Amino acid sequence: MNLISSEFLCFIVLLLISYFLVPRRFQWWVLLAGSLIFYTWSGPRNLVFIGLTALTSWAAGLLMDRIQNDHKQYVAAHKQELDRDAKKELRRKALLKRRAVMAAALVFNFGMLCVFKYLHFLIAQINGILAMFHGGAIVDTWQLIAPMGISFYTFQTMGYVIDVYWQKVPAEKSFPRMLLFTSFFPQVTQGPISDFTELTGELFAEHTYTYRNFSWGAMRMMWGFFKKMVLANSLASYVQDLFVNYPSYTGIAALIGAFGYSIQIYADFSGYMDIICGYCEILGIRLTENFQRPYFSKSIAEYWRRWHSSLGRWFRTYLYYPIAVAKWNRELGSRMEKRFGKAFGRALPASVALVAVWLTTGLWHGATWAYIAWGGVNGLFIIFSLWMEPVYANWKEKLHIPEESFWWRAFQVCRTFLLVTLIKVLPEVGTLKQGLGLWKQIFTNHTVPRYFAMLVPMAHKSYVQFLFICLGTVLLFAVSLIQRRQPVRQWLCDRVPYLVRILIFVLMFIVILYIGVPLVESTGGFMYAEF
Amino acid sequence: MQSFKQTLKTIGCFFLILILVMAIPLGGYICSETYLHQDAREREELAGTLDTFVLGASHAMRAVIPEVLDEEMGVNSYNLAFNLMTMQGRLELIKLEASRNPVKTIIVECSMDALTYNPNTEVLKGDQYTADRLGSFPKAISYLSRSIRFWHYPWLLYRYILMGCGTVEQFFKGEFRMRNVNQKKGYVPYYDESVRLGNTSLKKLKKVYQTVSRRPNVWEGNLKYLQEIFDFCREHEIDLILVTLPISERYVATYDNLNDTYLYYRKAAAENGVPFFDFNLHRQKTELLSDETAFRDRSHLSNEGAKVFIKMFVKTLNKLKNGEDALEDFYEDYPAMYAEQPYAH
Repeated sequence: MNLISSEFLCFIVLLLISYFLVPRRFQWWVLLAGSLIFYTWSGPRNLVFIGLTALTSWAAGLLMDRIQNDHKQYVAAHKQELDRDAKKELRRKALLKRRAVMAAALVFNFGMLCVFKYLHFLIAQINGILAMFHGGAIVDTWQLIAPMGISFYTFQTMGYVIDVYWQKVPAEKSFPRMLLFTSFFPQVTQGPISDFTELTGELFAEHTYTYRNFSWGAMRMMWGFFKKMVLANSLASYVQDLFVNYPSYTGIAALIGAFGYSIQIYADFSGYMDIICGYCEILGIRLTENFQRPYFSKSIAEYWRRWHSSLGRWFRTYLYYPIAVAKWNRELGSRMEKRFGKAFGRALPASVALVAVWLTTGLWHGATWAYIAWGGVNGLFIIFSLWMEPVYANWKEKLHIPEESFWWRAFQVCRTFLLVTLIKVLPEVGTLKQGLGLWKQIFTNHTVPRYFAMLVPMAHKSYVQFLFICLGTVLLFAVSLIQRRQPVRQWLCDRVPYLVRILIFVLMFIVILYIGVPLVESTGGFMYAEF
Repeated sequence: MQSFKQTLKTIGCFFLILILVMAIPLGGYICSETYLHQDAREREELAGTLDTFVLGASHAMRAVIPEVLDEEMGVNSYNLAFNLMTMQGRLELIKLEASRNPVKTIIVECSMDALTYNPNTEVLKGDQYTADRLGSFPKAISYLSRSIRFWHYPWLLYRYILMGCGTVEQFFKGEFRMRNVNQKKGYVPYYDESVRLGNTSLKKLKKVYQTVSRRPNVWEGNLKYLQEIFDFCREHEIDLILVTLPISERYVATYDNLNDTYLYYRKAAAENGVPFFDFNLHRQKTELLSDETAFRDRSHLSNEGAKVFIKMFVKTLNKLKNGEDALEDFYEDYPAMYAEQPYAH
């Protein structure tokens, strides 16, 4: 079920009514039923896979819990008989058992994810290698259609399994509750990838209907629909044209197109987040925020803490820290410190972890070399910044640059936006070669456009759409500026009279219907749903 | 409870402001050059003088030139056809015009869509256009309440919002005009005359010959309205003529079931003693109406094609008027026509 469809609107209205009509202790059952209906809509086959993920995670959690309890009970019962070494040995055995259970769950679920998302890529690489020796493809290439949201729900549930293993959260005893945690419909397709404690705390709490939740949630949903349907969808055809015909664009026109892509993907993804967070707000549920005004970041590392932050947090918690503090990595750092100095020795373990994180992030986004390169370039910039930090500090001191001055911050924000934009377009053009071709076009074609239409071709095609793109971008920027100080909805409620506020949203509604709805069929669904 | 009340108040305010905001552009849309409203006003001015009407969908709107009919046949005709007009819409407009004009002849275009459109499962712009053509707000509301199912009302609201916004856009582009000078007694030639379907080679026709099957899934309601048209004309002593307008040879060759629709109409016409002509079966159709010049797209005549077609049509009507056998210029049915086409062999 597409979020931009009349079916979805009917579905969420019915769900909302049912949610507040049933006794509060049964509210989460309504969510579960809704999630299963929503998910089944995408194809009953998919229900099997999400069910398997929920089942294996639930079983793994229970098993790890039981191993730990058995261990504790045994130690408590035999407290007098066991010496310190025996206790240590028992603890080690229990840990190994829990680790085996966790590993089995991880292998099964990540294995399923790999089969759906990466097997065809692997086969293509094998074919490529074999072709060098035999002169032709050996293995048949085929690709399975991945179940909806598999990347998101697999990461979310595996986070839970690891948390149970680390004993950060207790195992969930009820399977229906686990199923709801895995399949909660607003976030199953594109995240956010929530933490177990955070999400279940919201899902299983009893919620009361309030007008404030309704009005704030509805405002956010409307803003989300505007971002997606008017801004992102209007930009889609322009950006698509750039990606297909980039050799015919001048360097500056291609760069403007790339900026257009940056705005498109932000409006698309954050628009989705606004729609689902707004809806959950009406239900009384607070979801993890995925965006904290990312285009106002002063460095790439900061950008990635503010863009799709739930994925960043997952990688940080479950990949970066375990690698960074791993015994082998710390030993490697110590050895290098002795040989190359303190700074090198300290930065190395973090860099090793960053390389792993960014290559995995690239692969998570898509099974192509372009995405792997995209991850690599992001990692490279972050590692380079990490290593150059002392040098930069030295330069700033010598040049007397005040860290908090407006112009220095503005420079940092613009520089980061430019770099992020250039990195973003790399995998989106198609192959890695084409992505590099677009870069080449931007940096080497210095032709000065003679007409405005050469600079922004879309303005020539539909200037109504172009006008709304410009207005939407300005609005996006203004909202981000207001959000620096307070939530924009608070600002609206404080400063704008009730009827004027409604008028603003009526106008937004009309623009969505007039500009957005006709674009829905030609532009398809959300971009992040493909990941 | 207080929260629910406040929510309902906000939703109510939202829709009230929406209606107030849309009233201005919609007013512009209703008063401006749009074919529908201008057409309704024109017909009101001509009321009491018109004796011949043409009804049908876009094929008829683009094909029948009333001025030629008037000149060649000495009638005072009007083309009421518009995009996606339903059978119910045709009946409604016939009744309206018969109530204020000395109607002698009604020509109804017969297409497959007019039989298959089902208001329970789909909603057509044609119903909205028909409502607009009825000329008064109560008539439009009455028609819409009968033709559009209530679950399609949000779609209708959406359509009116689109039209209102379209008027605002026209205004800012400087294209807003109070009158469409292009429209002549309901006939609306294309603004851009250069667009053509293009030549269809014999090889291509052979390749596509009867490759697409589009079985008519006839909705009973349409047959009922067609019968009501027959009954109404009989009661009011109006001469009714059924016509299927020409479509491109590429289209005729592609579908394998045009004969099914033809037989539906032929049977209905025969049972009610009404003449029926399918111009795709006209013996000179391929010669006079070539895909290259006479068609704008697969199913609509170009301005040039309309000029040629109207002469063929007048000739047929004159033969009918003079008691001659007008059907001698037509093939018996589609199989008979295909048998003589080179692409069918």
